[in-house]
This record gives sequence, C-alpha cells and structure tokens, in this order.
Amino acid sequence: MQAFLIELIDEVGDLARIANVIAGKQINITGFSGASRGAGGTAVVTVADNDVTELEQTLQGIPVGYREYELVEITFEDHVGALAAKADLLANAGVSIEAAIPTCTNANDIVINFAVSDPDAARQALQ
Amino acid sequence: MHAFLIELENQVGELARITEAIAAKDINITGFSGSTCGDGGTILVLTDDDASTKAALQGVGCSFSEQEIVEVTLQHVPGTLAKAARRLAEAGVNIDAAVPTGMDENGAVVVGFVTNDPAKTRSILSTAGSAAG
Repeated sequence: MQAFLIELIDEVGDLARIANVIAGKQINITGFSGASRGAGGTAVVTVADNDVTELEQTLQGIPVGYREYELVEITFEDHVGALAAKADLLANAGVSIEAAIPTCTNANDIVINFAVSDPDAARQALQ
Repeated sequence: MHAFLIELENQVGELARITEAIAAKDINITGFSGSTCGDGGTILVLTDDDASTKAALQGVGCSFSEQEIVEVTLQHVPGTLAKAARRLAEAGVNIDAAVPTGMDENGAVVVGFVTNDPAKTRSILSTAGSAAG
C-alpha cells in the first residue's frame, strides 16, 4: 500500500481545497491523518491500490507538493510501551519514520501503517 | 478527550525518545498518528491519562500542545472528508490535526479533529449525515 504525504499551508480551507479535488475525481480516501507544524502541515492520505495512479495524476495536476511512500503495517498489542518498543527497533536499524496512520483497532491490537525511509529494513527490524 | 500535538525533529530515534518517556510513566497510548514536515514533524498522541502525559512531556523537554479533540463520523464513500473540511473552512475553523479513531457498527469511519474552535467544530459536524452531505 502507498501513502501520499501532501504538503499543506496551515490556513483555513487548505485541506478542503485538496480533498475536494480528490473527491471530484471520485477517488475514495481510505485512510487519513494529518498535523500542522509552524506555517505548514502535512496530510497523509491512502487510497485503494487501483486508485493510486489516478491520485498521482490528480496531485500532479494541481499546485501542491507531495511525497509518495510504501507503507509498512505494524500490529501493536494494546499495552503500555508497545509503540515505544517498535519505535526503538526502527531507530536502532537506522530507519526514519516519515508518517504514521492508524488503520484499525480491535479488542486486543492496534494496527498502524508507517511510511519510512527504508521499508525493507523496517520489516527486517520488526521480525 | 484531549490530544497531545508534539513537535519532533525529523531524525532517527525521535519517536522512540518521546514514546519511551510516556511508557516510563506507565501511560498507555490509545491513539497515534504523525507526519514529517520539512526538517521537523508533529505527532498526535491520545493516552489513557492526560495529566500524567502532560507531566511526562514536560519532563522530556519537547514542545507540545494539549488540545480538545472532536470525533466525527464520516461515511466511507468518496467526498465525505472533502465536505467536512469545506464546512469547517466556510465557518472559519482551522484544522490543526486529524486522526482516525475507529469505525462504527455500519462501517463508517470515526475521525478525530483538532481545531482552533472545538465547539464550532462539534456543532458543524455533529452528525454523520451532515458530514456526509
């Protein structure tokens, strides 16, 4: 699965501007998170595999910066320290985390997709 | 419910440093998202103990804010996020962060929004129907 990290300006309506363009192409956003920082911010968007090319073309057609990453799915048990332990494994392997987006939660586990600098190294570190 | 928006450097080990500090206080992280932006990044963290989380973050010396999070149910079809974002924009509400927090029994997605005006956000997006248009 791919994630798109879309650069936004931290001002009213910028998320709406991008989301409306995506919706106008009938692309369903399957995952979303985002946060501002200073004068900017980043929205993290995932779509179904068969919509990836359409989303790439859509974003290339509007004035917005974006980066595309392969996602690594990590399952956490719901207890204290679970995220810290996984983050520590990635850090020790020299893997930089670019974004994280939760995908589902059940009774015992939390699943988070990570966009990282080196997906293969991340998977190996987490084995 | 409150969310912690924590500013990090965009470098290896920053997430580990912060989450280890939270875990060391026996605080459970119940929700999480984040993204880089230039040479920095922001993570959004939900926990089972807001007061202790605040103390832990103050102890680790990072920049953060504690903000109310408003949960909104969005139908899982094209355009619902766009409509919600447009309604907030038209009301002059600025979105600082967003994180999916779950799904309801009908398969709709629950998204938590952190904004500059939680009361107005709640009023505008108070029902799934209004958000889905």
